[in-house]
Amino acid sequence: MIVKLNDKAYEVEENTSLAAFIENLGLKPQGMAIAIDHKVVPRSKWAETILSDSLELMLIHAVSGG
Amino acid sequence: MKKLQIAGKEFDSRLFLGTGKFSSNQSMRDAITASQTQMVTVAMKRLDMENKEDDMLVHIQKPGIQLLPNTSGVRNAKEAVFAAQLAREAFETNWLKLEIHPDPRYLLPDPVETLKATEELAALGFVVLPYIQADPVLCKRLEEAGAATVMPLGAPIGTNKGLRTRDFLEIIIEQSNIPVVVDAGIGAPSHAAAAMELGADAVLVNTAIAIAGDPLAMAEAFRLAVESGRMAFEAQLAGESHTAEASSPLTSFLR
Repeated sequence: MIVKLNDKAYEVEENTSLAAFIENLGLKPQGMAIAIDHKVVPRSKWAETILSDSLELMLIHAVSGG
Repeated sequence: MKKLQIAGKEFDSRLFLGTGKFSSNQSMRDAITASQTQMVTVAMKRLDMENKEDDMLVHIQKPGIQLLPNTSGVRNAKEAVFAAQLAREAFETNWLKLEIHPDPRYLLPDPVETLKATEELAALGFVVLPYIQADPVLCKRLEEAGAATVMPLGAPIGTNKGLRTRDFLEIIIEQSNIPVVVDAGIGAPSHAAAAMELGADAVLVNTAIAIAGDPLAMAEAFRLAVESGRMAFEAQLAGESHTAEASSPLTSFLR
């Protein structure tokens, strides 16, 4: 199945958790936040959040700013 | 000097530092250290998987430094509340610099959306520091809405023009029951000192330090100016007079 992260499509296997997806991308979870359909998914729920087909994820991270 | 208190938290430093526009993370880190700031702003961006940047947080996160995520990039209250929730998750803090400026030319804050967002975010338990126009009426409304501070601008963001809103800042400071942080437009240590002499509780500086020839030395110059201005305010400045007031005896000792 396909999920989108920041508008980019990724092929993922069925029953992949959000935590596993992020880990497979080689991302460290510190200093970032993820929203699915404009709802923030708390880090504590990443492991139990199972991705489904056509899901759109938004991932933000820290950058400098005033 | 009196410590600054915001939402029950004490700060020794009254200089808040923005992290934008530094030429490198090292330069930013040096400026943070030299400024002795305890409040540092950060922004958020969608992660670009093609162009992964260094984690800049490692250069900022230190004991004694409060991270202040901003909502730069949002255009209305609804987006600001969403950004605030992302920030709380990413930075593990409920402190927030609320900035809603839909117009990219002058980056002037939208007062209606800012008030609306402050009401919602305060109800959700955020410590809200809204960036706003130097509008004394709006400042009172934000105070009633539950803002932790007000952050009126001295001049538009990044212009380095100083306290162009001085007369209104004076009214805001006189009327406010919450800390007043002068944000934006402060371009020189003398501007920062002037804001502190007026009785501002703190100043937020970014561009003036970040793009200075020597950001580290400029950070120190701002630190001294903020301390000096605050000290002068607490010492109570002598009043102005239209005519001369002799500071030496006028006796005619030559006769």
